[in-house]
Amino acid sequence: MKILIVEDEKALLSTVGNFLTKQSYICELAENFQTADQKVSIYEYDIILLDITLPDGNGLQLLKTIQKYNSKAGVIIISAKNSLDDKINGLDLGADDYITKPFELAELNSRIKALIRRRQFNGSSLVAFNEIEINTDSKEVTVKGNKIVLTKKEYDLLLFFIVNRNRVLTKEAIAEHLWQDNIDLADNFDFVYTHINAVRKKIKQAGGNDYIKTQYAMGYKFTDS
Amino acid sequence: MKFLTKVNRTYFILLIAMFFLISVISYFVIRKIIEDEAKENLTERVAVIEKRIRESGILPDIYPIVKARKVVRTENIAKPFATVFISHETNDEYQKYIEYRTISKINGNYYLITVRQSVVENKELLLTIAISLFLILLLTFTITYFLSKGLTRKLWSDFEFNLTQIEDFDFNKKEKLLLRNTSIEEFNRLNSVVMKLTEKLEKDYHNLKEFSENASHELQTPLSVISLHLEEILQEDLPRNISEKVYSAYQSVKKLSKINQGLLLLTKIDNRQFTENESLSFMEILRNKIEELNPLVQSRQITVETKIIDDFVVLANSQLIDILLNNLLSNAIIHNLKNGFITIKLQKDKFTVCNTGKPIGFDNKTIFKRFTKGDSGSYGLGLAIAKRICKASGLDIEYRYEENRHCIIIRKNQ
Repeated sequence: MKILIVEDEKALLSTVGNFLTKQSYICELAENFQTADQKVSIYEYDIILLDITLPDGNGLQLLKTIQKYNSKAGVIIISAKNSLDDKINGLDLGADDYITKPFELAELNSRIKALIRRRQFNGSSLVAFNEIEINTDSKEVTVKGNKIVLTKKEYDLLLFFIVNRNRVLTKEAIAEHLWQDNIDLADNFDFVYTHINAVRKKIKQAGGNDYIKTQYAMGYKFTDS
Repeated sequence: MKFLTKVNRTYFILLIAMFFLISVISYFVIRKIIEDEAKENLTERVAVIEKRIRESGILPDIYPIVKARKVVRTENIAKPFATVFISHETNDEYQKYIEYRTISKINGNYYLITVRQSVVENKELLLTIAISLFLILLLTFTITYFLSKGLTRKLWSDFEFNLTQIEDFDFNKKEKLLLRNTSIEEFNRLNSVVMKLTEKLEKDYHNLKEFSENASHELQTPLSVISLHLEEILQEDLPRNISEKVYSAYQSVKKLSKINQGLLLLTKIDNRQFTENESLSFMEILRNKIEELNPLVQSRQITVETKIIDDFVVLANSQLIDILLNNLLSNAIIHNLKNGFITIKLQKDKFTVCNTGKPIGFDNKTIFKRFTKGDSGSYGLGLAIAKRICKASGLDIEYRYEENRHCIIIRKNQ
């Protein structure tokens, strides 16, 4: 799976690059419009992460080149502007998703995974972790072959955990993933706890293990180790 | 008070004062003239009578105006002129007369000649003067009033027009301030001063807006870098005391970024970047919102009651109304008690959200100011944003604390 990251901020570029390389993607980096434009017109990518505010050009312009030479690639726009106009323009010009700075790596990861699942149909709609299986097409969850019924938020939560397995997920990251910017929850994360407990209980009842480990007061980690 | 009203009022007061002053002065002047005239008349008449006596020897006696009689010389007249009141035979009214007495020596005899002339009484004189003066002044005032009104309206029409332009002027609208040139130099001077001032203010205002918007944008990238690095450090197996510090730093960055986004949103609302309005049904939006927020409500065991009397429909930007309802409802959830209540009421021109909760620890009036916050750990921007959205959408927002409930009331403004 080949990913091109277009981002003018070096620190951000290398952090995202390192993270995605660890997630076993092949990453290429472009620091400016020029490089990105060249790369896009020569090589093929599966996913392109695109910062639309570049010093030497507008990222939205790059979308046109991508449409021309790399139409199979899934594009996620990264923007510092949380503006609806950019979002609509971007999505109209063929971007698949839109993420606003500052974002969580876990969030980026789950957006990339979701995009890959949407782009490749043969069997890839199945996300599994040991005895837990999620079919992202039918949104069905089975534990040891037993179907369990989760609410929409519980389903989102479990998928977020499994996609970001072995990673510490802070309460903030979980809350943001479940509610986006819709709600200013301040420091009230008791509902995250409520959802996690519900998911734990349902998995246990179906005979599964509890993989959700608490990390001090900061968050949770989905792991079997 | 309007300029014209003020001018007219002053003018009116001045006229009243002038009316009294002129009345008094003319009263004395006219009385003096009449009396002098009468005295002159009387002395002339005496001369005529003397001549008559000398020629014919007949003493005239016409009551009450002429009387002559023979006297001994010794009499001396101290005051030749006097004012007397004499009643008529026909009615009881007294008439005022000026009397002139003199002793004349005619053909060796002495005669006392008394002549009188009736004059207008003071009261009548005064009344006549007052009425005529009043009529003259009233006429003058009426004419000048309407004349000046017409004239002022014409002269001030450009000024009024410019004033309306200035009143309607808004930095956030893209239009420039255009003032009409008048034929009056002072007004033109005022225009040029106002235009210069507005231009400067507008420039400063836009620079400031641009600065805050750019600053907020530019901050997002470094914030991303910090947050991503901290997130990565948190993945490491660190001693608890260190990871707690890193987590605390991470939380602060998150908070900083939230505040930044909130301020950016405020700037955007101020800059009118949300201009597309559509007719929005609160009933419909709320139905989805309540469903979306249901997990939150349940996790805090809050009961939500919705009373729909009529749909609340507003013409506004859907994105802004979405943010508004998110803010209000999340506040109602966060600042609620466990097992508390949220009451939502929809009426034709009023929308109310009430929730149970502890009283706020600050003044009610500051609740919509930015960075006013209770002890809930919130950023203190939610209601400031709500207020700004209401203002931009033609709505009034009000906060009340009644019977242990926080209530936010939104009304359509007229």
